[in-house]
Amino acid sequence: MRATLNIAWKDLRQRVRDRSAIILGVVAPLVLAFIFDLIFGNTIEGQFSATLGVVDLDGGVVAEQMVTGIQGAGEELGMEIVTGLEESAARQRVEDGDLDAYYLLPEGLTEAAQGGSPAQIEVVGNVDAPTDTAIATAIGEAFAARIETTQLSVALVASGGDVGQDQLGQIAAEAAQQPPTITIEQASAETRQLDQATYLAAGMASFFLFFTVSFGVTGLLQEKEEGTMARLLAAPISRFSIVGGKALTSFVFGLASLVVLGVATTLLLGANWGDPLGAFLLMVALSLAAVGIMSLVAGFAKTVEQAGALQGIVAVVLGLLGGSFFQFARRGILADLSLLTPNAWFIRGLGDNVAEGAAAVLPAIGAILLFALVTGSIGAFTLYRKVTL
Amino acid sequence: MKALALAGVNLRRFIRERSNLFFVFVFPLAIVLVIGLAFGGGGFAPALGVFAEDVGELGDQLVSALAEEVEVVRYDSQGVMVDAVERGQVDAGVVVPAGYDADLRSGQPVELLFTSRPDGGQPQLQALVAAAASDQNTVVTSASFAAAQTGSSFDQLVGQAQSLASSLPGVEVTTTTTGEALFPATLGQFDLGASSQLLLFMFLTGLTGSAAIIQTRRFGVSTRMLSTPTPMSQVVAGEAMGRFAIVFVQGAYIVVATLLLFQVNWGDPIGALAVVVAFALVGAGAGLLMGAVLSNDQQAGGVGVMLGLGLAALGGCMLPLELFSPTLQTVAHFTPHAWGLDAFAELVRNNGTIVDILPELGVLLGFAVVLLSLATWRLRVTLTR
Repeated sequence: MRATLNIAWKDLRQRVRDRSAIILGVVAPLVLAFIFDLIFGNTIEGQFSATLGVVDLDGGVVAEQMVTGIQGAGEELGMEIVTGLEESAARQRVEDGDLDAYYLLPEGLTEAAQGGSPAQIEVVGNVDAPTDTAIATAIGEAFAARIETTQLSVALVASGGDVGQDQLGQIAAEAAQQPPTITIEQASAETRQLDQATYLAAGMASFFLFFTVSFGVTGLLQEKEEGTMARLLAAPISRFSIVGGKALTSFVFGLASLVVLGVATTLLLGANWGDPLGAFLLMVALSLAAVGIMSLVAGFAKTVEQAGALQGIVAVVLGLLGGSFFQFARRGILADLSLLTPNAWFIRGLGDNVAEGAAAVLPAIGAILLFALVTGSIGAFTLYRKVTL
Repeated sequence: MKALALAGVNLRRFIRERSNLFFVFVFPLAIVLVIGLAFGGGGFAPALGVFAEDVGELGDQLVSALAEEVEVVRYDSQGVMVDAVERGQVDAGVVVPAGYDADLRSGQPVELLFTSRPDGGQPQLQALVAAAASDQNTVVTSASFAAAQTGSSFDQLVGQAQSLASSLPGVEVTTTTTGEALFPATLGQFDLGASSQLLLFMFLTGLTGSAAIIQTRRFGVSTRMLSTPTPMSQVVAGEAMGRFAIVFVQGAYIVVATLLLFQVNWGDPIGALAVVVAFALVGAGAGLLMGAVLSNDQQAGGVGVMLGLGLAALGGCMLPLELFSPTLQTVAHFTPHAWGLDAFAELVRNNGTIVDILPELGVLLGFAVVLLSLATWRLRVTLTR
């Protein structure tokens, strides 16, 4: 035990002195998370803040109802509605991307709708805002459906016979008040999705973690190459303490870098890692898994150089597949495949942690520890066999 | 030419390391493929989760109507659907209640449960759901109104309403689009990603080459080279040409391979070749400078990845420059990547030729000259240390 600690202490001091561990473990992930956050800052994926315009060339009562209806929908759905626009101005603003779409309520709309002749509402959308345009169209269609409901109600009542022309207006007014049969109730779900800054911070931290921990376990191969292994073997310490010392170095470095990054990104980027206890437990689990995986890879290598190269490939593939840079699939096979990496479980666990606190991260921790256990035990065995002259 | 021999040695040393082959030849193509599949063509499309069981014919009709408006993902239970919404696998979810068909046919009001996240979970998608349900709503609502007014049977009125609905004057909503698209429709699925990844990887490979230069210095190889009757200029030129050869070979390989595998459009071949050559010089210069300044090859690995990915992101290789704010676009043009991307945009989207990209080429060569001169100046000092 004492020997293990001594070996780890010496390695840690050596690594801190040559600064490479600090660059990889802290500086690089922090700088990259900052740059990515800056770049992606204005285009949060999946969130829109549509701004719609209304051009009313009709001015009649139906158009007025429609403008009120659009404003109501805008308020309910969190969109900005600009009314009272000239057509040319609205078109210009849509072309400039200033508005996402505008409604054109044509002259004669009220007359047509009330007189039972076909009417038309136009939605003009920006070519690069297809979703916003589709939503604007949907709101228009919902309003059109209300007019159609009234028309159909009147037609049905009238077809029943003995209804005088003078009564139709009264029936139409009543029909317009009829509540819709199909209504939509809103339910709010929790968010288990990390906000952008946290996602980038957690992604970069977990990606570089694998490089940070690789130094420690590769140190075993380095001792062999530099001839210092012979001296360690000559000393009255067990072979197990040597492997343990290297693994401990890796773990301490990995965990320290994650904790520093957690604090630094919270302060500098406004990242939200959720419940500190849950976040810390996830960091411990991920560090263990990273040590396990990197030990396993080092166990396959003959030289330090080879180990570094293999570890690089494994770390990059895990990071990419696990969504450390970007999420390339929200669902489906690729999304399921990403759960074969501890990186993806780390992000998922953090999402649960932010939503519900430490108790909710246990499944994710279990999954990550499983990676640690399987790779770590094979890795320890292969590394143990490398502790020879 | 001893410099050529030195360059050859550098190239051989690089190729002998098999992991280099992975990062230079396999990995970039995989990324182009993944990014093209994930983001190419269509951009962001919202998806709606749907849980609808025992909803009958009208319920199935509603789900089909939804599928015309938005991508629909069906779930087997409400819990799984809500979980998918919470984890962002879909943007929102709708529960169509059991017995939807029977309730509507008997004139009972029904509620669709629309579930979204509070933070940008797109409550606006609710409007799409309302629009999809509007045809059914019109028929059922007017039938129940008429039933109350006339005392006729609801069932009979529904049938009547369905046949009348098609002959109503109605209000039609038409949609047109205006404005100039940021990305022309002719842009292939892999086109945008390919030029970004080309520049990202060429620069990254250039920077990681610095480790080899640091090793040459640390192991005393350069000192021994200089003890032979080889002038300093030849040694420096050899290292520079070696780095250039590696970066250029990778660039040319990515262009040809993506052209053959994914039919990526690179525009005018002479223009594309010129950009690749100029950018390879920039990458080689940056790598050489880093190799001259840093003294530890593991540090160089970390700094290389940081600068390689960071500058690429700033330069528009991760998010297209067109989506940058004006300030950030100015900042982006302090990186060579942005100029390279501008050149490819001109070649590919405007069918430009080498003449049209002369300004961009000039700037890239300027970057190369500055980086290579700084590197040469520093290497003259550090090679003998």
